Amino acid sequence: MNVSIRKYFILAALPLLAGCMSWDYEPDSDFSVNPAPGRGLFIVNEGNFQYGNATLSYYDTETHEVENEVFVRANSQKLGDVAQSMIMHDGTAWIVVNNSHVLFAIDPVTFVEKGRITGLTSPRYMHFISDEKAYVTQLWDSRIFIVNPKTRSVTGYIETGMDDAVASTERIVEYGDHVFVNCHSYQRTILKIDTGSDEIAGRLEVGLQPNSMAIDKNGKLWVLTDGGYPGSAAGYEPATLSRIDPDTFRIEKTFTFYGDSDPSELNLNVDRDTLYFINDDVWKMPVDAETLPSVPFIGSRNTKYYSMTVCPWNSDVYVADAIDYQQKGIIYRYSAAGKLLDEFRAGIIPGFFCWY
Amino acid sequence: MELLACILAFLTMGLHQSDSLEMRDRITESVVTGYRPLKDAGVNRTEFDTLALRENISLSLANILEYNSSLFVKQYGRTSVSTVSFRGTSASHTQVLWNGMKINSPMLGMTDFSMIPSYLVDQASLLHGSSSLQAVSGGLGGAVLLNTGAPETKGLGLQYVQGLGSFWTADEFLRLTYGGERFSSSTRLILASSENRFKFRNMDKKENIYDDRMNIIGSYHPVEEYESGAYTDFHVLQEFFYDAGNGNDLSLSAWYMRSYRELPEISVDYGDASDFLNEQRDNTLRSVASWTRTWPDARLKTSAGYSGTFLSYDYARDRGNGELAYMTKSRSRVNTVYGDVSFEKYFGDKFLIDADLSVHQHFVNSADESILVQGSDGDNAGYDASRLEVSGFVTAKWKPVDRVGLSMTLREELYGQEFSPVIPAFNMDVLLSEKGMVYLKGSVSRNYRYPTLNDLYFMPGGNPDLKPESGFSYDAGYSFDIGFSGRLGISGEGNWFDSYIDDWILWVPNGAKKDFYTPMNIMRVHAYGMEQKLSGYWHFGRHWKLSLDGNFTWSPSINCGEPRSSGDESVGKQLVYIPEYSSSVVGSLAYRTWTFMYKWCYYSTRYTMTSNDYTISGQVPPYFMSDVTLSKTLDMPWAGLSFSLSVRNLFDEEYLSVLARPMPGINFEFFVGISPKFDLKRKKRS
Repeated sequence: MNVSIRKYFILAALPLLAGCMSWDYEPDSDFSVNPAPGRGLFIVNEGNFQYGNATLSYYDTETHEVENEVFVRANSQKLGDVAQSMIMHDGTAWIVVNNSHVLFAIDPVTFVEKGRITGLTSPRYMHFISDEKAYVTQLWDSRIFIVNPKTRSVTGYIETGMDDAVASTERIVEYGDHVFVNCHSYQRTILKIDTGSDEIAGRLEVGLQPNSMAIDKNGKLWVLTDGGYPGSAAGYEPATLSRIDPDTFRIEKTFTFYGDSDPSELNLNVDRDTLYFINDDVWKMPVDAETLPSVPFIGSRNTKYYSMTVCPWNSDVYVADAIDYQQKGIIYRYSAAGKLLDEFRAGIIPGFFCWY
Repeated sequence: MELLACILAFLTMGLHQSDSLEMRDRITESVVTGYRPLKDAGVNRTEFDTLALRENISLSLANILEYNSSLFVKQYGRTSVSTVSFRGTSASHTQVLWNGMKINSPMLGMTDFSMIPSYLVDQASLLHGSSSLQAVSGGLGGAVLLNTGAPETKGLGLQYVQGLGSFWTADEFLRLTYGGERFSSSTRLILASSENRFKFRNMDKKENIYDDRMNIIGSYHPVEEYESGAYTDFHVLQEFFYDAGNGNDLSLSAWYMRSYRELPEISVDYGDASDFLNEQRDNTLRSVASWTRTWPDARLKTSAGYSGTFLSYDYARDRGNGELAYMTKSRSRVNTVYGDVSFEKYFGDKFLIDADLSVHQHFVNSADESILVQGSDGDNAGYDASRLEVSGFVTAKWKPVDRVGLSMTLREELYGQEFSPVIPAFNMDVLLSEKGMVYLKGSVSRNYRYPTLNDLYFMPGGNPDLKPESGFSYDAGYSFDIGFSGRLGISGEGNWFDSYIDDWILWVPNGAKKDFYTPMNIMRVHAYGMEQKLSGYWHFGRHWKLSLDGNFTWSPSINCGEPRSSGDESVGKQLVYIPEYSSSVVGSLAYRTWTFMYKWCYYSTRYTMTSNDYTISGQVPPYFMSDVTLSKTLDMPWAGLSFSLSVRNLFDEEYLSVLARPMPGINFEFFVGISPKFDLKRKKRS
């Protein structure tokens, strides 16, 4: 082999030597925010199903600074696939990552992982009953899981009796010694669970697919249903907003939406006298109103409002625009009077807010 | 860095794959020896030679295309779903024909190339861009043509190859052939299985070390085993060929596939794989019967075919007592009846008319049998649909002078009850110089791709109001082929392509909290760029042959539609999962009956966010991949023997092709083959 051929081979080998992979995430804890209780807002970004690109963002409501991807940056590991919800308890933030089958506990100040609970079917929401007991709702599993956050273990189950293929327990709201759980996908039931015995104390049928709940200043339980979708095996019907007496566990009043409305994200303001929800636009409605509102509180501007929250301290309204569901969503912050105060980018499909 | 790598890759391009000397004369090398045939006037086609298809007998078409073409191959894991796309388009813009019959799934629009073993393909070619309209419509990026053929030898022939490889992989290949004066038969069987439990360091996860109080005192990226990725694939391909004389040929090809595949967890799954069942079973029969009548200046071909697929997908959870709680029990039954008539007629040696009429009638039943809601009318979630697809075209090819070839195609289609506008395509080539066979060529066309049946009817989410995607594209390029006394040859080809695709269909979430997606016509895409091929071979010494073959593609694929809202940052950005740069090089060195082959490919960053954010989750890092194969053949009096060792991921790279889907590190497979000589006097079939 002569010299020129040798050169040729060396040249050919160069790209191989340049081969590199960067499937690695170096720690990057150089955050510009200083999380502190009473001013922080976590945004749980679902990410795309099967992409494993869920992320966590933090927004300082006072400085208006935001940091994205805080979980992976602080821990050099990904948050997972379809982050669903988050809850704060006793100085620890718990993130429910649905399709990763895991609950992560993190320090809300450093974002560093403190532990995790695994062994879940398809977790959706977590609710603390005590320091050592929490409920975790599930999709595709008729059981609500009981976990011990201290020992990071599953300790028991509440059997709901649904068929697993269409079983769905979602959000949890507390009322005295009971909690209410809405059964969403293909379902139309609200469960009332005794938190002492962990047994179902009652079931109430509401409209098809109840997706969110809230308890107002009068102690009334409000339930929003989306009515399913055309062609669904469970049926398709107009969406509703129902007011329920939590003691008698009976529906007192139902408002029916027009046409193919698809309402979601029922929230209350600080005084718990005004309901907020998304139905293409953002709407608000006094709890003592006799009809559904006819004028939106915040109009859609070709936006895809996906989730919202109301500040527990000043009733500012935060609403997330998922845009095309494959880029960083925008969070719009409005005053209680509807004035745009701020906007910032979070992660892909901002789906849940958690106050700190 | 990416650009540097591309330049280096381009510089290293050279030649053509080679073969052992024994097989050399059987290999079709794309050496141009005269004017381009009238039939190929202006056509931008890439042919794969026998060596590329047979180099590693266990490879799927996805692997072949990854290393031997300018296409982007997207793999969801080792032997998992693999799709290919041309020129910055999507996988559903690649049309695939098997012996003339479309095999794209009418439900999904795409083809899983991991399910097509190269061993079952005798001829493979790519029609790039506008050229695809000469075979099929809907290939906004291009088309892949796969064909089988009669055995090359007379008498009885048998080939058996066994491969044993890493991750408990076992591959068996058997081919039995008979070639008579008029009748010939070929039977091919494949049985491939693997536990597929490779180990990888999971950079997406960390394993924690706890103290007694459950405080984390340390963590590390765990080395995990790829669980639930096992597969067993069985293929049988039976073919009969009959030369009825007087220019009449009959053929029948029937390919049955039975595949069982576990679907592995993604890298961020903390569930215990043994608690879940996640698997897919595919039973597919494809068959095509043809009659061809050939005259000195004309050819008539009629074909009829059937394709049937029963695809099951189960996702279930073990209740803990051995019972499975099904979350998804998807059953899809797809039946397609196919018919085709084509006629081509030469008028002298300057003019050719080619006409074709094809019919595909699809029947689809898709259901999730796990969802039977109490109190409902008992319907499953799913749909029942059928669609008639009729496509006809006429192509006129003309050589006004020897150096110029012109081609004009007019195509018309019926999808369901909807007629397409007339689809025109114009191709031309000009021979600039006979010395070096330097051609200039170009084409321009419109094209349409109709929504798939899932796009229209999938439950939930199907959108019956979808419009077809429409494209306008043109390309221009050159080619050359220079040979020096048969010992040294260099050939090359380059193309600039440019296309606009309107009403691009994307599945997006269907509003807030509905938990399902729906397809919408939401994008306008400008896909353009350059493809470059360079090949060469060099015979040196008495028994040496060096070959190199390289591809380089630059393919910006840009969303050029209107912003969806004021916050939309996707306009002007590269589409997700389409690399802007890709390259591949295959080199081989043959000495007598030894062959050493080196394969290399490169894909630049693939964005996973439409806004092209260069964030941790917004991109899949670029990767380089290298495979090598060393093979040896022995020609014994009683049999031909072959031995080969393939090494994949030579440098043991930790890499992803798709987010959250780890790929294996270095792995090996050893093959041994035998071809008994039943008739020592056998001759090549004339």
